[in-house]
Amino acid sequence: MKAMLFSDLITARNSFPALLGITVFVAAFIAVGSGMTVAAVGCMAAMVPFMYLFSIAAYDEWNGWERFRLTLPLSRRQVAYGRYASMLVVTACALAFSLAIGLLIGAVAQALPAGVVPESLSLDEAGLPVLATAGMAAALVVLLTSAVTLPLVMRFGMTSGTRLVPVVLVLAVAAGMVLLGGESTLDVDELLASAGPSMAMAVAAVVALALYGASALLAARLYEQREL
Amino acid sequence: MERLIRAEGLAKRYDGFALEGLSLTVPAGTVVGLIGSNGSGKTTTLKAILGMTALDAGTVELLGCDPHAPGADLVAIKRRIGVVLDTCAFPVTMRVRDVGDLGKAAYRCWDPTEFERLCERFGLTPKKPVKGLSRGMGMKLSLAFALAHRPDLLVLDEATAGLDPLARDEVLDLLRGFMEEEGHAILMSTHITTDLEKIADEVVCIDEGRLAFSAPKDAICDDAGIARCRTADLERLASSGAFAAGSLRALPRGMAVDVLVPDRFACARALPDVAVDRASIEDYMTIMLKGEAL
Repeated sequence: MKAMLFSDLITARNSFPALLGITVFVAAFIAVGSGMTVAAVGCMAAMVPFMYLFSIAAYDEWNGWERFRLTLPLSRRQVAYGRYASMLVVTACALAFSLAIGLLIGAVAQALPAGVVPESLSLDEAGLPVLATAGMAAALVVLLTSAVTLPLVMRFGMTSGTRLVPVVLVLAVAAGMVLLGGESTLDVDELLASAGPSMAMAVAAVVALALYGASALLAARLYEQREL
Repeated sequence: MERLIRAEGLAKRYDGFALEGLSLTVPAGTVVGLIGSNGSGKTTTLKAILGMTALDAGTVELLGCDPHAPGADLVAIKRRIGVVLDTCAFPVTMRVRDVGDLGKAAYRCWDPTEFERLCERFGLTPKKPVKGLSRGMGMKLSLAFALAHRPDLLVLDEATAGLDPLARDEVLDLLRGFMEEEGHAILMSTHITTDLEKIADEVVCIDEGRLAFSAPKDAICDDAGIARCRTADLERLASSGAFAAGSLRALPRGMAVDVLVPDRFACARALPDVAVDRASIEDYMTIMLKGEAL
């Protein structure tokens, strides 16, 4: 799995500077435009791994790389788990990066004379806990989306797999609405309010990681059956 | 002699194509060339041998193990194999040095010095991006990658395609160097049959998923011949008693008929007035696939 993890990171590493540059530009635009550092942090934490996910899956289909990779000393299971691991690493690094940039935006906003940029950008308005919560929430959304996307991409390839992603996501959301909006005894809003933001975030992280892990098991099985 | 590959009765069925009952062996110390027309099943055969595609029937023994057996340690087997496919498959975002880093991550016995030496020999600078490589340079990079972990077996799928004659000779020299070490073997699929004339020991031809012929290269290029016959010579040749029934194959060429004979010297003795040329692998394959048995 380690070899596959490195393979993915080596494949993507030359694209990271451009990817991060685009992300910072977009984040700065959002921060100044909306006057919210927290929005910029969430955007960065989600943008980087999403762009990574679709880039790395697209490279698989170029020049027969995916087929050639199977000639390396890697099992299909290792390929699948390595891909999940690399996605997790990139998501974690993007979260750290987005927090660092968020803090930098806040510090710069604080240092600038009043009126140059919205005061809401300063760290007084959005400190580390708020930024971290926004970044974490974005990262969890990334993991959940990846948990849906990766098995489909692993089974059908990038081109066909991504066509199915919206269908599965819509069905999942619809199923969720039916389950939670029906006569369920579980009041999610009340539960979240009583647990507090930290506990809610921790529970969400555990649930997202559990689903991500289950998705990895499914993707490995699907990838083993795929004809390449 | 140790066999690095032994495939028996390989069968694989896709929509519109079937590999049926194919068998081949690659003993240590030999170069086996796999030839056949486009879509004949060469790549499917290589994939089946490497355990990359599930078989419908047949058995494979690759470096002493069955790659298709449940629980087979395919990873350990693949550490001893270098593979070059028909394109430079590395992601376009990589540079030459990244390919070296990939090798380091993937292979325990990766030799970075050997990789650098080969890259230098091929004129591949570390900063060169993969997307900027010509097809020939890409194939050289693939070959450097395949050799730098010191494999026992090389499996090459059209590895010399797209290379100019000088580069092809350079690659063949490299392959000869690889074969100098005891216990090594090469299985190479190619359309450039002249490369096989320079390096192969055995030639295996596949046609429409079936084995068309398998013969030592010397039997094709040294012993066999093409008799340039007139129609009237055919009867004389067939009834000369020099050849067993069904061992000759004839292919009409305009007013004349080319006859593939398994022993050109015997043919020359039987019909001294008929010209008999050496057979190239391409001639041999063409007449075997298109000709009719006499």
